[in-house]
Amino acid sequence: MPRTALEALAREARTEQPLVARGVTDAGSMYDTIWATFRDDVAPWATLDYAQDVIAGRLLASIRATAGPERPSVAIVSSPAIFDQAGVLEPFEAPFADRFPPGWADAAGRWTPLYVQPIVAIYNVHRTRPPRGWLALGDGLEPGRLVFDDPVRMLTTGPALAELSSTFGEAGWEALIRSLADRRPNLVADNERAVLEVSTGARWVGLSNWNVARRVRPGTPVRHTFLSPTPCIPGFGLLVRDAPNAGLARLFLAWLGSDRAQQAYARTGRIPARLNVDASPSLTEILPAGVEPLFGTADWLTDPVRWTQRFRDLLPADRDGAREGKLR
Amino acid sequence: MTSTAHSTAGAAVPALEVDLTYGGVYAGTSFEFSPAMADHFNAAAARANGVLKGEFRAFSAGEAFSIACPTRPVARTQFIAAYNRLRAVIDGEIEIHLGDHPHLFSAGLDDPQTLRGTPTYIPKSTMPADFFGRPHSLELYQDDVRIFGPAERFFHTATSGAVFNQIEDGHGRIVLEVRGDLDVLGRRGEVVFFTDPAFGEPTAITQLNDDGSSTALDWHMLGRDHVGDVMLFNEWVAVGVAPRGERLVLEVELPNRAAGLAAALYSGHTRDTAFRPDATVI
Repeated sequence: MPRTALEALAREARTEQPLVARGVTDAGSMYDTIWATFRDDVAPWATLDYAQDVIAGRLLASIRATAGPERPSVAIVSSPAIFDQAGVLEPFEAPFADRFPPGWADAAGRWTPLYVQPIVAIYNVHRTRPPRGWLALGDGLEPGRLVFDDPVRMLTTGPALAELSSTFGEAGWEALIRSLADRRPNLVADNERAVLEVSTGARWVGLSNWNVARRVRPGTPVRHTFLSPTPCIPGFGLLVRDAPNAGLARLFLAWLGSDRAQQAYARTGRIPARLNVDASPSLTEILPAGVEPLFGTADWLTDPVRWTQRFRDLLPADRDGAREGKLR
Repeated sequence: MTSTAHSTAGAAVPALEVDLTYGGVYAGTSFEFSPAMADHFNAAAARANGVLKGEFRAFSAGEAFSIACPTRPVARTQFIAAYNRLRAVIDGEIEIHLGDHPHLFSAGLDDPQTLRGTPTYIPKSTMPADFFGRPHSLELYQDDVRIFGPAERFFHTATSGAVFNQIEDGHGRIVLEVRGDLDVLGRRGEVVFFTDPAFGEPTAITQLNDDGSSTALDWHMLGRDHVGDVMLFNEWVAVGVAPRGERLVLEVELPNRAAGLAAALYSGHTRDTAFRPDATVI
């Protein structure tokens, strides 16, 4: 029973603290909602040292450079394979693994899905009409008016575009990426920057995950629209090897698959990765009629390097100094 | 008004008198300049006629902080000569010759042949690693004469103070959004704007509140910034700003449809998305 497994992990971790964690989830959501629920549910003694870092390469470098009590034991990332290939991961127990969609949970226990992000098109209502589909994303745009997070980073746009390969076929997919490249897209470091660029009017159309796209001020000219199919990209939890308080980290990661954890993620505005958990928002609740979700159709999760190289080849760009949008 | 004069290398250089209307020398505001923004100012200087020696230093992209010195108006040639003799001394140790760094001169409203001050933009990379995010003592010297300070000023990081997040294009207007810590901004109730002359001068300023209410604000023109014979922007201040929540939104109505410079600043950090060379009144 998963609950029994959690209780066993909790007994082993009872003397451990703090949990040092880093990742893509914003610090407010982590501290105020997810960690608060974790303490209330299974670990009232535990303390947290968490900071947001959305840049996988930077987080990996930080993990490699840090030993001792400062070393993060939990990482929350979009693309876990690069951490696995770097040899910094430790398998962990995932008592709720069979409740996630096939392809997201790892049979070897190297990562666990946490939440899922539908990828939407964003547009500036002063400047253009909503894009009508993936193949029309750049229609009518002058070069430089399109923006999305650099697919090479495999944050959200990279995995989303990779998923679309199953929809358009190999030739159609390359034609899609080349049509985006023709628009000389502004490649930025994160979804917040894409929304910011469209909000100012400097760019007219972009891509973002749904959670960021709707976190805008009242009256903003940014709107979002779901394209069909809508790629849905999970965020994942990882256990870092040779990190302190590994028992507490194992308990936290195991707990993140539970009903209460998934509902806590929903309270932060994210969609739980367990699609049938009783929570709002849910994927079925937010997807418009006729828009199909798309996930688990491409191997970007297990082989991100191949996709990264394809994006480098098809979307040539000066990749130095890609701008971030988050307020740190 | 100039009260004393130094004779240096045969040229009369007036002693600058700091204008204390808005608190004197303000320093430590943080900026992020995009490559496009640097190009905008550099291109303006390249096409300008009559740019005097010491009037312009090329901008480059990156983070900078400002030391802004409003003064009583002085004839343009004399002001530029005097400005190039200014030294900021921080904590009694760090000396910055303002003329060595990019700067923008603001012409007097009544007499465009006079200058009334200048913000100087110093790359943050030139300062010690732990310099930002705390207050420092600031003095300003002209040659060896102290003309301001010592006064304490807070030198901002990219996240401290008010964060000027973005300026949006709009129909007949531009829209400013400010986030971060709005306390200091709220106490003074001021936001400084730079707006391209192509837009014309503002016709109305409205503060929008998250509860749907709005407040009409007043504003005062401060100066007109030039390089040579090219006017860069109107510099003006919105007054009576009273943040009521986690964010501040100001709508600036402008009479002319155009694209050009729009920036906003106060105690805090201005992102490149709120210091735009391509802001557009649609």
